[in-house]
Amino acid sequence: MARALVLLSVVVASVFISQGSTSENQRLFNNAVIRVQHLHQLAAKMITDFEESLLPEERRQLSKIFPLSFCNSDSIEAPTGKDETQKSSVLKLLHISYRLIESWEYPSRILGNPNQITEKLADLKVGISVLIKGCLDGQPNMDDNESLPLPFEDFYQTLGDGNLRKSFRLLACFKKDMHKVETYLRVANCRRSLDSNCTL
Amino acid sequence: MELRTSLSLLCVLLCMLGIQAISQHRDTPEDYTPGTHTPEDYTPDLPVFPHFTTCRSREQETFRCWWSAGTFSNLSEPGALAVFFQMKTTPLSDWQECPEYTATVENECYFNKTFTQIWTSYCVQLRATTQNITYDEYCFTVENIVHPDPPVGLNWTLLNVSRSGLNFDILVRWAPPPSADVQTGWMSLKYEVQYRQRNAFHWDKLELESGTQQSIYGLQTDKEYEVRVHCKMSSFENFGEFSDSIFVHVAPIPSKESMFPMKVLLVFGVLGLVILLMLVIFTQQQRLMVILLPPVPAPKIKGIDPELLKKGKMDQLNSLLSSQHMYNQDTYREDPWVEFIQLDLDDAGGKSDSSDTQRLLGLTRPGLKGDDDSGRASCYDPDLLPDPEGLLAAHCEMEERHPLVSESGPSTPSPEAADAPFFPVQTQPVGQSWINMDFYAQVSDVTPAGGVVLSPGQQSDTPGKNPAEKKKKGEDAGDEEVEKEKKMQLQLLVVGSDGGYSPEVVARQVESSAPYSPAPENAYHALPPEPGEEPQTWSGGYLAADGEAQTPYFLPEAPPASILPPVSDYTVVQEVDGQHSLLLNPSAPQSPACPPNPTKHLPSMPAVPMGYLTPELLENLSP
Repeated sequence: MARALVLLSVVVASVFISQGSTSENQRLFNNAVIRVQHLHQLAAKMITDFEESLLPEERRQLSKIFPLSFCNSDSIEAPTGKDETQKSSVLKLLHISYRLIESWEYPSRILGNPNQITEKLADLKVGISVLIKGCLDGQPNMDDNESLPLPFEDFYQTLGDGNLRKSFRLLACFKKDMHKVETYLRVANCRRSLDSNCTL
Repeated sequence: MELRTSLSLLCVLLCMLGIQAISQHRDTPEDYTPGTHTPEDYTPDLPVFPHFTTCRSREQETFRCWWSAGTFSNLSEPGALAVFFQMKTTPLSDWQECPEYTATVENECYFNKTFTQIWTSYCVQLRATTQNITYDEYCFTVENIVHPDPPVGLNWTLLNVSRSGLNFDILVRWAPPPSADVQTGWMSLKYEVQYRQRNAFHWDKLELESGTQQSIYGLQTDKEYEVRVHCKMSSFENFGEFSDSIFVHVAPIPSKESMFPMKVLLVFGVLGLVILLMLVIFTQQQRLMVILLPPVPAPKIKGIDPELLKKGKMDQLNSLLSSQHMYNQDTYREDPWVEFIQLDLDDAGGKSDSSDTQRLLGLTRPGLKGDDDSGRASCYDPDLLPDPEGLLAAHCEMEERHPLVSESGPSTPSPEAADAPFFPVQTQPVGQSWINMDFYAQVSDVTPAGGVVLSPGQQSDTPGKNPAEKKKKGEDAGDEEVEKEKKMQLQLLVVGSDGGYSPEVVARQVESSAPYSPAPENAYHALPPEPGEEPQTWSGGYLAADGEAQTPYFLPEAPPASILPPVSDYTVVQEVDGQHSLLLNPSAPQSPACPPNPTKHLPSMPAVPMGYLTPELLENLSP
């Protein structure tokens, strides 16, 4: 009888502890989602400001950008549909998000300092790594061998030289990637919350 | 000539139009801005080429594209135009034809989930099937063409109504569009609520809302409102379609009606109050002035009219004073020991006949002589004695009476004397007459009020000046007569007078043949009050007061023993103060021949308030 009680108490305690850690993890996830949403908003605002600063003839030039030049992050394998995203594991999504954020850490310096994008990206990266660790729970990380994608040749040369097309391309790519990460993290967060609605 | 010019003009015009059309055709494939492709507006006359009207995605999973054949009616037949698309992936894919042409909708190309890739650039082209002509090209990425479906389930609930009943607040609720997968987090939507009055043209917009409810404040009760909501993806600009409008109407609360009479009542009440106040003020103006601004009392000297005194009309003054009730003869009668020197009124007219000196020295009156006690060298009968008031210049030795003493003996009671006001007999300068006189009165007592009590002088050598006081009172005549019979006493009142008046000595002697009552009778020695006690304006005469308290200027107040110093027969006059009163030095003892012992008598004297005709009394008495 005493042993049963002890066992029961241990189980209950572990449940509570796990719930506590789960809640902490949940809080971190929510925090990460909020941060990436903010970055996405920043990117949208930057593009809007850029378009407004253009002269009408320049705007017509801008329309010729599309078909969009390729972004640097196109090399990173990422789900492109809803089904595909939902089928991916949380860990995979976290990894992809981590890589995407990491790929923009350096080029974000060109985007401008007032918004402190680089710092925010760095913070988000740290947060995602923490989430990854929490997800792994001791399992070895299988994705370490992937290296960062190589940038395009002239990807970073364009910025600052007044080339409208390339500036616009940079901004557009940044916004697109932020939206990607936001979607991935949101889906992962829902999945993590053990809500029945989040699962397929 | 004119025909040629017109033809040439027409040609030029046509050429220009053709150039324009061609240039437009050239530019259209390249002029598409991502996500902002708008249909071109052409005038119907100009040829409109087939073009994409728009491409849209509802839920970020599929999308559709629509085109238009333009003015080329022959191309509007189904199958004349084809849509080709290409995804800009890293290995460029081939151009594929539209996976599905919607059967039900004309000129629509539908891309299902398989063919939809988010975050991938697409280019669609509109080509003629028969010819190798590309009429239009349009490039985009799917997330940039997402227009969410409208929210569903829009309803409202009343939050509250304002106290005035004119405004109310509502809470509007809705559900996200079912096609958008918000639950799994695939899409995050922002909603915008718009409302307007039924007949208005402009919509009021509220802030973007992440949740599925919003409050609308400040709506008016008697108006009907229309509310609708639409949504977009967060951080994107493409709003979806609006939801169906709902209509909000709240009937005005009837309390609004009851407010009106309240206001009217209030206004009328205030007006009435103001009018009443004005009436009060105007009718009671005088009173209010008195209350608010009390009149400052002018400096007014109580008492006798100074004009009267200046003119020296003592008659009127005496009449005034005599008319006072305090000079009641009855009181005199009651008080046996009240004695005073009564001046004969007849002598008043005959003053001129004989000098005062003569009168003083050689005064022989029947009444006076009648008194055995009078004239004795031994001063007077001890029984008679207590006559602390020295009679003015009444020598005991001298038979004659004090010239100022006018005797109105009982035998000759002059009715006039009785009734007539008592006039001060003499007005003599103090110093002159008395120096010549070989008589003096002994100051037997000094009252605490400063009055000198003179007793009938015993020694002729000792000079003593005792300013006689005026005494008036016609009323006292009656009393005097009575008392004359009882005793003979002299009472001296030293009158403090105003600056303008010389003190007059009025002495009345009452002869009293009756046995002398040992009671201390005279107590009159109304000396001028101590400086400061008496009002300056007092210039009237004194009354020989009885022992009553009502007579303010009679009799010492305090127990005489304590006040009076040890009195000898004679008291040296120390000084005369400004009020013509004698200040005696009580510490000069002399051996009196027949000194009265005032101390004996004094204690027996009733303690009567000593005073003079105070201004207050005068004021009361004066008309």
